[in-house]
Amino acid sequence: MLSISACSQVTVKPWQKGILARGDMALDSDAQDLSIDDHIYFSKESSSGGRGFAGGGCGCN
Amino acid sequence: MASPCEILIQTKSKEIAHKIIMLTQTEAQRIELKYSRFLSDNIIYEINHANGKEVKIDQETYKLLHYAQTCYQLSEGLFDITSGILKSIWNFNDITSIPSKKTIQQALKNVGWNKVRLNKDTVTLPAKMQLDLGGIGKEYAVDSTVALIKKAFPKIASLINYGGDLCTTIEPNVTWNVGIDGMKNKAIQLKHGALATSGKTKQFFIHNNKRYSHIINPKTGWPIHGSPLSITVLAENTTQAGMLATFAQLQGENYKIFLNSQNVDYWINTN
Amino acid sequence: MMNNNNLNKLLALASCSLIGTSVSASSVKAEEWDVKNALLLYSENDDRVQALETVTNLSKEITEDNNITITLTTDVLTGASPNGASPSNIIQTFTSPSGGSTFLTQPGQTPLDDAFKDLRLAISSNWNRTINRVVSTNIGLAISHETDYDSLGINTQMVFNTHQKNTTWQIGASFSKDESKPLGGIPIPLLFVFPPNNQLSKMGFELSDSESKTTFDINIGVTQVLGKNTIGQIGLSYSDVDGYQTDPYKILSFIDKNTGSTLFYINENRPDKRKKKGLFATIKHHSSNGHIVNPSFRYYTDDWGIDSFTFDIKYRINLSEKNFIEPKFRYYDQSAADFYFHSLSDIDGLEIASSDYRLAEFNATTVGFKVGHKMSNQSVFEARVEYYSQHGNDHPSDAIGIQQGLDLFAEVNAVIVQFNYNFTW
Repeated sequence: MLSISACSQVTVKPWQKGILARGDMALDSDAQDLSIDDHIYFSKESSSGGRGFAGGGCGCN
Repeated sequence: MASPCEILIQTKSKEIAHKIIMLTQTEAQRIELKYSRFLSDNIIYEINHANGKEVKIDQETYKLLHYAQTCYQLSEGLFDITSGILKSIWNFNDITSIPSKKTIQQALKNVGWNKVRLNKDTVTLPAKMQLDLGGIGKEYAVDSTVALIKKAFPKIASLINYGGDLCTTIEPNVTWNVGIDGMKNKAIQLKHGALATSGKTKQFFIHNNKRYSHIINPKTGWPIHGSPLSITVLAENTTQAGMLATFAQLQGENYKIFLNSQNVDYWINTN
Repeated sequence: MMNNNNLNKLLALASCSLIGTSVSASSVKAEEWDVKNALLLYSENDDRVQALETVTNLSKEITEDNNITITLTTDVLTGASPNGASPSNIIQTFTSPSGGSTFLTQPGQTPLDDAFKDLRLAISSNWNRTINRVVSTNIGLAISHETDYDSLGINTQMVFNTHQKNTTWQIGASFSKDESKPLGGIPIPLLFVFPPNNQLSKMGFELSDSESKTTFDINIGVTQVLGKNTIGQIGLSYSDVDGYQTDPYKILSFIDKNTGSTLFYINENRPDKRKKKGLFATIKHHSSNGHIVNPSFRYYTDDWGIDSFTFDIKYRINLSEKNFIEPKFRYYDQSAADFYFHSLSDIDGLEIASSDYRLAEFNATTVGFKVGHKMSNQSVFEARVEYYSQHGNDHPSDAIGIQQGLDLFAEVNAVIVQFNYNFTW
């Protein structure tokens, strides 16, 4: 289990970020899908949010 | 172009960086596919297998060959893109074997730009002669890419480096730090211009206690003697820098005199 | 001749004319639009909700430091939705909200109101600005419109990069105001459903056409590079909703406390305040075989008594430079709202109550996969298929009489199909 202080000591140099720079490694690489999922689950369940997206509200029933 | 290609881009925008990378990749691949002598379906192949017949060429090819011609004239015949075949008569893996005088004479019969006929839209090579753009292809690719980037992204400072031949687009906010192979503590602060290095392959051989580089004199058929391991030159563009470095190497022992007479910045690696 | 310094000048001239205008450029536009199109098909079991949604997202770099995004969404919904009433052992008759049509429900079936068609249009836009190497900001606007519901919201975010961009902090806030304008007007809470609303005004009741609510959200998160192949993120969110949160179309069944037969129906009523808190964490890891694993967790709790846990995981298998397949699994578990009742047998002193199955205790799983194909350097096509199913308490222990043989949780199953086509224009 990583602690936050240990995390901040990991420094990956810019030229080492080849893998991290890949499109499919971005945390929002499937932003459109995540947004659609948020909408579906907001309509069918009682929880909302989490990832910090802000989108249009709907009268989903 | 089997050398590593590197692009450095000074920008905060991932999108712009991505686009420049795509542009660079596309242009590098285009030139490689068009002018590589290892492929069998491009213009170079057609020219080299035309068996003495005239071949139609486009504007870009004409400009490249015309440039090679100018360099042939300026170098008084020392730079010759038809001299590639001479490499095959020398065996750099066995530094004790030397081709016979007869072999060299035979090979020289198929060398010499003066035997080539170049027009605005055609080129004719006598049969058995071959063109090798290895001496100018890479530098040209760098400059071509840089020109495209400057057109599409006029405000972005980037540096294109194909296997050690590199050039900048516009002057960067943070000066580029360029190291030279073999010179550990020396780094060039590059703001503007191009660097090209001649003599990067470390092939050589020794004969009669003399060291010869892998660059062959197209007039004598013999490798050049007395030139340093590598010469790096700074110039306005990569093509020019590369040619100056090559010319210098072709001078053999007189490389320093030549470089000094041209008023250019240069760096020598003699290790 | 070669040691003549004219040579360099001549060489310079020659090289310039080589590169000069002969560059055979493939045309490149520096400013391009990135376009993402999605088509979603959603279909529930038993003639329940069917939806079609299109989302088009356009993104463009205006300058190196400024990027704008516009998103257009259209939603078409048809099909039937549970109205909250409980199944019974006799035929039930209901009047649809506008007071117009009536519909019947067979014995043992979950009452579903099928006069449920909706068209929604939404547009949102976002402006992202890079201030310097460390800071960037975001501001956005979102508008949504349906025949009976409108929403207007703004959001803003600040992002800070530290440790050579190995750590990124984000803090954001959003505010929105929603207005509910149901067909037939706002129902009077907990009042008998029969008679229809248009007769109520004749009886001296004051009815309003619409009600609104405001939502304030704040979130804070940190994204951290955990190694050359791994990145993680943790976030906290808080939301405060104030105003009308009742579903104007939902009712509850009032049952006989001895037999379990339905006696009458009443309109639901939910609290007008809700505070929500969430904790979110995710990791993305690129393994040595080229695959990417991405698990996420979310804990949620609010003052309506709902606590939930969500776990989802995606595993991307890159079959080649151009193709991938990505299986996905999601598990969701929630507790019931304090005021959820599958039906009521006592309304003395009752102020808030709802039978909306979405407020009940249940868990849900989603399984599916996505495939993607890179058609060119400028375009990608993706498709995903998923199956969602809920499991609730069909036979709660407090079921009375005839209810004991009936399925009291209107759980939903749905098939989700989505196509994405993204390209640069």
